[in-house]
Amino acid sequence: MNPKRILGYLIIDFHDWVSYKFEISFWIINTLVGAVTYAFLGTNVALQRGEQIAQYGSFLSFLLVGMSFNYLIYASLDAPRIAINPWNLEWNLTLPTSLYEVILGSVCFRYIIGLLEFTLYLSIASSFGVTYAVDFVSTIVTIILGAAVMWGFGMISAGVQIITKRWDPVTWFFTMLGGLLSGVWFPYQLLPPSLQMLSMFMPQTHILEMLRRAMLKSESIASLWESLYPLLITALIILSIGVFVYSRSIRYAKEHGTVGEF
Amino acid sequence: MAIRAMTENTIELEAVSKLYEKVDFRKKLVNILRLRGIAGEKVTALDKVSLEVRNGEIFGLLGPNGAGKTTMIKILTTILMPDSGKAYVDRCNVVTDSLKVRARIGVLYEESDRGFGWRLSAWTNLLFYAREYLEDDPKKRVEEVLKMVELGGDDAHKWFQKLSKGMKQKVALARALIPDSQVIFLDEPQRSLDILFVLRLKELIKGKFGKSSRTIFLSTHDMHLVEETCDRVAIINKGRIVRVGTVGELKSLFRSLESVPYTLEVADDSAGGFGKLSQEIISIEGVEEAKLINPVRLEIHIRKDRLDALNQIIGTVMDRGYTVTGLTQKEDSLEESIARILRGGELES
Repeated sequence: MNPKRILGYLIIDFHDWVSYKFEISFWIINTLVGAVTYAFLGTNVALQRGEQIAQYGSFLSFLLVGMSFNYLIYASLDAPRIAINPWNLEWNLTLPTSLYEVILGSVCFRYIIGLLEFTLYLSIASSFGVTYAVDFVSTIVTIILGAAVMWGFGMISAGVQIITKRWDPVTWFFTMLGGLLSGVWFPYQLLPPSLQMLSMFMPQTHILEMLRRAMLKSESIASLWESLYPLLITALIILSIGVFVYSRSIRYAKEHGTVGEF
Repeated sequence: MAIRAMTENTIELEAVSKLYEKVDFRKKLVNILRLRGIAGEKVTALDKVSLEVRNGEIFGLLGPNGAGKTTMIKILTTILMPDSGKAYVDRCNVVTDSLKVRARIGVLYEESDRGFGWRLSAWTNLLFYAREYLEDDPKKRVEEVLKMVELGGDDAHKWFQKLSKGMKQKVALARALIPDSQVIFLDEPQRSLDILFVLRLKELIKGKFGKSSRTIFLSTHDMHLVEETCDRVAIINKGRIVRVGTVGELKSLFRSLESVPYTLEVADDSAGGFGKLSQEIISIEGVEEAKLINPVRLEIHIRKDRLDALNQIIGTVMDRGYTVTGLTQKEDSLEESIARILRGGELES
C-alpha cells in the first residue's frame, strides 16, 4: 500500500469539494446549525414537562408527528430535484412529455414512499402506547396543502440548482434551518424570542402546528380554518412561483447549453 | 403554433447562430435575475448556419471536434435554443413547437448512456421510454427494437450497469428507435460497437430502420459509415457549413482535370534504387509527377491526353529488373477531400 496513492485520492476529493464554493460555506453553517439544534434539544430536558408539550399528550406523540411529516417535506422538496438531475434532465427534455408531466410524474413515487414512512412511524409509535385523536378530513387537507407548499419550494430549489448545479439553498433552508426553527423536534415557543420571529416566517411551523392539532387534538376543518386559508393562499403563491422559477431555469439552461452539465 | 406548409425538406435551418457565453458562477446567478450589463467572452458554436435535409434522406454531418455538430443536433432536438435564426423539424419550429418536434423524433445522443437507470435492466429502461412515447403496446415495441439491435436473451434483462459499453450503445440506439419516428438523429452511433454490429448498423441505416420514408441525420467521424450510408453530406467547420454534396461530389472535389493519379507497385527493392527510378519516370513525356510513397510503391500522375505513357513506364520499370505487381488508378478519398476542405484547400476543378 503506497500512502502517495491514498494522498492522491484525498487531494482529488478536496479539489472537487472546494470547486463548489457555496457548498463549503453552507457545510460550515449546516454543521453549526445542526450542533445548535441538538444542543438545544439535549439541554432542554424540562421541555418534556412543558406546557407546550402537555397539550399534545406527550413529547413522543409531539415528536412523532413532527418527524413523520418531515418525510413528506423531504419528498416534496426532493422530487423536482430528482427530475432535474443532469443525468435525467436532458432526456426529460427530449421526450414528448410536458414539464408538468415530468414534475408530477417524478413526485408520485416519492410521495407514496413519504406517506408510507409517515404511516409507519405513527403505527409503530401507536404500539408503544402513543395515542392519537385524529380528525381525518382536517389531517388530509393539511397534508395536501402542506405538501403543495413544500412542492412549490422544491421547484424553486430545483430551479436554483439548474443554475448552480450543486448548491441548493432552498432545501438547506427547509431541512437544516427548519429542524431548528419550525418545531419538528420541540415547540418553537421554547426558542428565544428573536428566533421565534424567524419561525413564524417558515411555512413548516404553521403546517406542523395544524397537523398536530388535527392529529392529536382532533380539531376539525372549521376550527383550523383561520390557519388553513392562509396556508391555501401560501400554497397557491408558492406553487406559482415554483413553476415560474423552474420553467425559467430550464429555459436558462437551454439558452446557455448547460442542460446536461453537472 | 401552426405547422409549416408542406415542403420537401424534413429539416431546415435558416441562419441559425449559437454562441456560448463563458460566464463565471457569480455572473450566472445575476444572469438568472436577468440583470443587464454583463458581457462575458463568447464562443461561436454555430454561425448563421442554413441547411436543408430532404424527406427520406440519409444526411451526414462531418467536421472536426468542436465544429458545431453536437450543438446543431441539440438545437434540432430542442434541448438547446438558438440565439438567432429558425430551425424546423418535420415542419415544426424547434423553439415554439418543441413538444411537437419531440414527438416526431428519435435521438441517439453522443453521451448515450444518460437517462438510463443503471440498476434497472435494459428492458425495464426501454419500457419506461415506450410508455412515455405512448406506444400502444409498449412491451411489444420494446421486444421489436431489442430484436432490431440484436440485444436479446439474458442481456436485455441484465442491469444496465452490467452491460458492456457496446451493449449500452445498443440500448441507446434501441431507445432512439422506440418512437418509430419520422426523423432519427444519430450522434456517433458506431461508438463502442463491435465490427459485426457496425456492419449491421450500416445495413440498418441504409434500410432506414425499416421505414423508407424516414429521414436520418447522422453526425459522425467515421468516414466509412458516411461513405456507405449517406445520400448527402455537409461539412461543418468552426460553426459554418463549408460544403454540402453527395459523397461522390465531395470525393471528386479535388480531382484534377488534367491528370490521373496511378499507383505502381513492384515486388521488392532488394537491389535498391527504385526511388531513383522516379527521376527517370518523370522524364517520360506525359508524366507530370512521380513520387515514392514507400520503398516499393510510386504515385504517378499522368496527363489525361497521354495515358499511353503507361506502356513506357511499365517498360522502363521492367527493363531495370523490377517485377511489376500492380498498377492501379488511385481512387478519390473522402477522407482526403474533407481534410483538404477543412484546411481551406483551393478547388482545382
